[in-house]
Amino acid sequence: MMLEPERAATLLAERLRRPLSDGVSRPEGDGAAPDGGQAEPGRLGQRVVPKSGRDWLARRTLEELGIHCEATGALQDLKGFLIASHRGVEIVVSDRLAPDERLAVYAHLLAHALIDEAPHASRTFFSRLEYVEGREPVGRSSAERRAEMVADALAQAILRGRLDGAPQYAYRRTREPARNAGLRPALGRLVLDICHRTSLALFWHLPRYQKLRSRPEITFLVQRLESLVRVAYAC
Amino acid sequence: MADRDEVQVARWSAIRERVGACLRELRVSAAATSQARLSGDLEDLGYHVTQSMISRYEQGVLDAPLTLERLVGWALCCASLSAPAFRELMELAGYYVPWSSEDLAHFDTMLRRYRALPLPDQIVLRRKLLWHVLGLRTADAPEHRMPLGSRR
Repeated sequence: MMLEPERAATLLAERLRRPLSDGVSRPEGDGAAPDGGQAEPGRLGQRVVPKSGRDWLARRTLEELGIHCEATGALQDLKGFLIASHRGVEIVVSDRLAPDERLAVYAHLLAHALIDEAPHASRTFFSRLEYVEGREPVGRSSAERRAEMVADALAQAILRGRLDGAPQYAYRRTREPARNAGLRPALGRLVLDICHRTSLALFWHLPRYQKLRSRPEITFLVQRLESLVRVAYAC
Repeated sequence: MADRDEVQVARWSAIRERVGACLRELRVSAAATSQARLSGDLEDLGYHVTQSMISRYEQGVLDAPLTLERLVGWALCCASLSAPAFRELMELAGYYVPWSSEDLAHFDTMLRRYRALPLPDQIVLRRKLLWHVLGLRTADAPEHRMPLGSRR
């Protein structure tokens, strides 16, 4: 089983966004958080996942997707790491991390898997190490630093449960098949493709754009614009 | 009847010098690893191979063949999985390596990168990598497992 970062990131963001409900059963008790705390009431009277339970929920989601999660006390300079091959996918995290930190490591590893995903089929192995702050290797290239910045932004989008707060092409590799044939829909798809690519390029190079793009009103605006283009060009 | 796997003994006798040459090539290629260090690294990985055994394996004079895990562990500790000698070694051992050259090079890059890590981190990573190269699950200590989720 190979890692499907797109699917994993989307599902994880969705689970973290929504209150704990369908499809996810609690490990024990009713209304109790996995660590024994009480579930926090949501705005609409629903039970939402308490902060401490988000780590459990993330792990559970990853396990559902076949990603083996493990904690070890042996790691010193690493917060955790991810190894994916056709043998399987596993995430190992340090058991010294607090639940929030573990959650951030899961999100960050997935974000890296999203942006580092091999574009060609010949490579079937992916690995990523997450270092404890201050223990990172020195002399990282500017490309590595930029990838780290983008991964941070994507990880934040996952943790907020709003993956749509990042450019679509940053987390969605598979393109939708053309719904309609013809010149006009093709032109519409081209316009959308250019917009998405531009957004992705800005996301990779401008931290300000990352912040702007993560705002809910901008996400809403982007979605409306895409809908308008789709309607106008029947694509 | 003699308690002796004659076919295996004959096969090992036929290939051990070539295996020894490959093992030596793995150790001295890329970033040369000393026999003492390799011995320590293999010990950390869970395999008892002394420095003198390393020397004798390289000379092709030991009667007992190395197990598959130890062969791969050797290459792993030397960060030489992408060396042509590793493929040759696996062919001699009759094991098909289901990895592309690019994958193996990626393994080695990762192995070299984590050389800078403290030893405990290296050991955890190496054990995991061994499983990914060979497809064998290491027996984890129960206290190290997450309480949840299905095992593969």
